[in-house]
Amino acid sequence: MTTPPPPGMGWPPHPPADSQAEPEVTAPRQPAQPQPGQPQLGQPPAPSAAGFPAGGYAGSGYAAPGYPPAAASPAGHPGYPSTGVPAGYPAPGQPGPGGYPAPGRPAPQPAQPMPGGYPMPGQSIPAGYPMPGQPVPGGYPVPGQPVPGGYPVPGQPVPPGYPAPGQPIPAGPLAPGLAPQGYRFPGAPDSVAPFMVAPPGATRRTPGWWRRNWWGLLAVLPLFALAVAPDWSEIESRWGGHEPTQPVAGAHGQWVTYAGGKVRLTKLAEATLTDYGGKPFTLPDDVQIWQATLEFDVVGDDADLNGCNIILEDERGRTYDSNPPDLSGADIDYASCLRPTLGPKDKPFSTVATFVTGGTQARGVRIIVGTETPRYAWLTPPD
Amino acid sequence: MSGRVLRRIGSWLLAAVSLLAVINLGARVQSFDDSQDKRTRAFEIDAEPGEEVRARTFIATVLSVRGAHIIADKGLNHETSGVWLIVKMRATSIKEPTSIAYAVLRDDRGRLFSASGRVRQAFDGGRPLQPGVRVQGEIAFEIPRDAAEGDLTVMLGEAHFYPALDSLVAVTFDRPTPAEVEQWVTDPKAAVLDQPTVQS
Amino acid sequence: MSSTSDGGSVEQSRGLRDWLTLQRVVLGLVAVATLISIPFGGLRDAKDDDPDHGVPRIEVNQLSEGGPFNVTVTGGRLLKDQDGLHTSKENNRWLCILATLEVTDTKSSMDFYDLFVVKGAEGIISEQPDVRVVSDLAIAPALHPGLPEKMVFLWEQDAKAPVPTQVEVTIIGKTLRPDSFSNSLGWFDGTERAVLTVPIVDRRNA
Repeated sequence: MTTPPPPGMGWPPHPPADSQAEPEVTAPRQPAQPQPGQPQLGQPPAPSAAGFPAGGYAGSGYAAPGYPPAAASPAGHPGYPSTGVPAGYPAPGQPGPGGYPAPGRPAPQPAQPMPGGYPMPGQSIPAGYPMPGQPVPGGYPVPGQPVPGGYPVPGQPVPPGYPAPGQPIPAGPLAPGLAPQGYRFPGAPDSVAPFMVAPPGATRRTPGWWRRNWWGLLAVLPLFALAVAPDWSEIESRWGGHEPTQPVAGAHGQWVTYAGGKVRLTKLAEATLTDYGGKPFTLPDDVQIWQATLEFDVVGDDADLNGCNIILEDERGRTYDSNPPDLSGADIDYASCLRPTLGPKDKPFSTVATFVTGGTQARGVRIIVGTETPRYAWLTPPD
Repeated sequence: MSGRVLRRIGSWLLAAVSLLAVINLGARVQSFDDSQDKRTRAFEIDAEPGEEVRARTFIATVLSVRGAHIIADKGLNHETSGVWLIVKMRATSIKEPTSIAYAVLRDDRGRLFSASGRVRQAFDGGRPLQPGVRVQGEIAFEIPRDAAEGDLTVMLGEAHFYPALDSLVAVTFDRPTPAEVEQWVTDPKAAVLDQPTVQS
Repeated sequence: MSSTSDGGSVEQSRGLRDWLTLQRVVLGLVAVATLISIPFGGLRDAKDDDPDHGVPRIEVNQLSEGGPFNVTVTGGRLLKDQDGLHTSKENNRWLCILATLEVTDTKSSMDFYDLFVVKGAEGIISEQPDVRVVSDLAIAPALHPGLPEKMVFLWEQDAKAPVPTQVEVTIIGKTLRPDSFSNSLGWFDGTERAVLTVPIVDRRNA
């Protein structure tokens, strides 16, 4: 005769409210004499009896035959179904799979994670993981087995690059069966995981940020140059292109090629003017009147040079407009870079530009064509 | 379970309140110095009548002020329901040809009167000044009588519109006497503006 | 304690919370708003019975205050092509609106070219009027604060168009506010400020 289990051991602490009112049984009753046909005492029960352990019931948590069942269900333990044990769950009395408590054992404290990351019975399985008893998707560890190096613990997010369990490995230029770069099938030795997880106890050896990114830092300069280079000419023109800063000069009084034509300064001197009535046109004594005679050698009338500005420059670098309103009333020609309408079409033509300055010496004449800036023609008179 | 729901609601509320606070703060910061105009205002150079003032690209002297009821220009008499204020000034440029395209009168209420477009003006409208060549002429402003009865400031600048971030010459005249204003308003004689002439 | 059903209901309620994305909540609210509007005639604009569309109607010689100008329309004329007022084609005429303008801004302003919208006359060549000072027909200069000025607004009308006897003139007012791009003050947002009927007096043979 086997010793009955101590009171309370294996039995639910309180009978469920809706179950048959069956108070704690403190001691089993004497087993009844087996009736004929019934299994003899001492013989193992028929193997078809579901839930019954193969050899004896000591410590099993179940009632011996003849005894009322301990409870309507092993549902005294959360997670266990009322009828039948689903596949994958331990039969009563069997040790639960790694992490699962055997019936009767207290569940691990809520604060402690289940070993291996598996949920408590009754909690929802983390996304992707199979219900107990279902086949484990390719690559993931079965419950209780250690997670292969590099794979995330169940419940943790899958690191970028890894497929979620059950999903196919992303396609790559590889033959089927081969893991794409950085992936490896579980258990495959010697492949490199896209991220490194230090085995417990090992010191951290991941390369630092600098080592990982040195190539990117090195690429910054050439990439920056490549980004700016296509627009460089526009940047140049926008920031400096519109002011006349680059003179195109020749020897004194000599031809200068500029804007599709040639131009030279043949005379630059102070002048006295008359008004339209022939009387002298005077300005105050400390104001000078200068005249510059320019010669143009241009083919046709469409050269850029035909649309130019004639500017006087003095010894101090100050500039003056030609034919200013200060000279209104004086009998002078309008200075222009356009060929006069009456005159030969194929010979050089000349024009006279008049300027007014205040107490300074004229040094030369600038010819400026807007489309040619920052270049301009710088003409000095012959010696 | 309800604790978790409460916490979620709480964190949503916190997020909403933070977002509103940030938007509010940003709007306040932006409107704190609302005025782009203030930030790009001109650099005013204050001067007395008769004082030669050097702006960035020109040199100007505001000489005197007179008033009238009628200005005769191009054979036409231009009467005003307010007062004609005529400012005599002299100017030249410094380094390259420049024009004084901004000529505005400011009264003591801060109102701004641009030079009148009804008559030909000596400087306003872009007459170029050559470096070192001093030109003298008169500019006419048409203003209401109550503006003429207070202090008046003549403002001159290079750009045609307000010379933002550029120099602005500001010359203030003391208010005319009431007798002067009365004389201007009732003067039957048409004034003629001095046309620009080159000075030594 | 039936743990399975408990576990099941936890699953269900979590499922509902997951299903209720922000997108679905917003769509639901929009659907509800649309449905609620059905007994009120839907979300169309309310019918506008007012021919003036809420714009105040005034008379000739009545002051309309606002920015950038206070405006008093004093009459309408029809003028012929003449010296100082040449039309682009012979026999075209000038449709004129006379008005006294006073600047309400603190500085001189020329912002009167889009002050009036004229309806009821056909064959108008150009929407932008020619604006002159009445006293000397000089091309309108800037107007100054505190100085009301009699102005005439002229639109060239084709000779073949019917002669108008009256027109509907709408006065457009603007608001002084910072420009949303550069944050500097200016007059923007032209809105209809007042509307009036102006009889046109034919002065082509005067």
